[in-house]
Amino acid sequence: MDLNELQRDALGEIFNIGVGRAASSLSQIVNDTVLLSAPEVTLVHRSDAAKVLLGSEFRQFSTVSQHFSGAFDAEAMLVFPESNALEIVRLMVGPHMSIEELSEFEQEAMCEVGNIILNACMSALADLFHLSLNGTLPIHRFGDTESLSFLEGDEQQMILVLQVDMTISQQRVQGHILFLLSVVSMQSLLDCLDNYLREQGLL
Amino acid sequence: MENNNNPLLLIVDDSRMSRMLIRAIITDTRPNWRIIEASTGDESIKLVEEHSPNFVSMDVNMPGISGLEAAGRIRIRHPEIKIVLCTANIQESTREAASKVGIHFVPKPITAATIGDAVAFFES
Repeated sequence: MDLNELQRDALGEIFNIGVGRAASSLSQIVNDTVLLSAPEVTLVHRSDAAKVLLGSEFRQFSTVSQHFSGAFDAEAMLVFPESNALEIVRLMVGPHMSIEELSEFEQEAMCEVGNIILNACMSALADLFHLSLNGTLPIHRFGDTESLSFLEGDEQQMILVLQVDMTISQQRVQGHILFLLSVVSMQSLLDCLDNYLREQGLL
Repeated sequence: MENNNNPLLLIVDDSRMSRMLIRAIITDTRPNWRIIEASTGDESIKLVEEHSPNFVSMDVNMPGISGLEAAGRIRIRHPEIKIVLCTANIQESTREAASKVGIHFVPKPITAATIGDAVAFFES
């Protein structure tokens, strides 16, 4: 299974709309402009996902995940380098808190950031495809590439990797947004995408 | 036959789908408009110099220079060109930056309504 050029472009652009909405919400939270790169979309087998992440510049991660169900099921996951997580929390709650106090808020704050970004991406998909996707509450975890649970399991599962660079208050924060889908769900997502492109007269 | 007096629109977007969508809607509603396309801010500046478009639809988040920067540069050299930012970057700071230099803002997703809004600005 692979994406053709138009499907890859369309998914990137739809997620761009989602990430743009998320950036608007985040900029209100941190009271600053959030600069975003255009998202890069790749589709890999689960076994290759580690290489994508291992090839990146960070080893320790802070992750927030949510499960979405509906026309297709997807585990959506936001992956940040751990060092950036605390900085994001500091921007959210202001400069007056000690490191200890910030650490207490970290879980909660990262869940909120994940909730905003992941829901914005899935909402952009749902709105354009005219369907409803239900999300569970976000779960926050720390880990490294050895212990990230999503890298284990069904080798056939597809992972849609969306890479977005965000810059907040001169702090460059590189984040990956991962969508884990079964082959069946991936096919359903591509069917929805093709229907959308057909509706727009582009197929 | 193409008439060189007809309005010329430059669509700037790194997404091929977005360029195709805008082109399809414009072709439908303003069949006499001529359309050219660029996929980066740098390319848009070059095409403006070569073709002197009447209108520009500009994305913001693109590889290379941002659409805001490209629009600003075009605006300085060609204040007569009407520019619309057509972008998913819906932050207040982007809207304000556009408004300060007389650029109209249209949020994505691209629909007949949002492009209708852009066309109304172009023709105002």
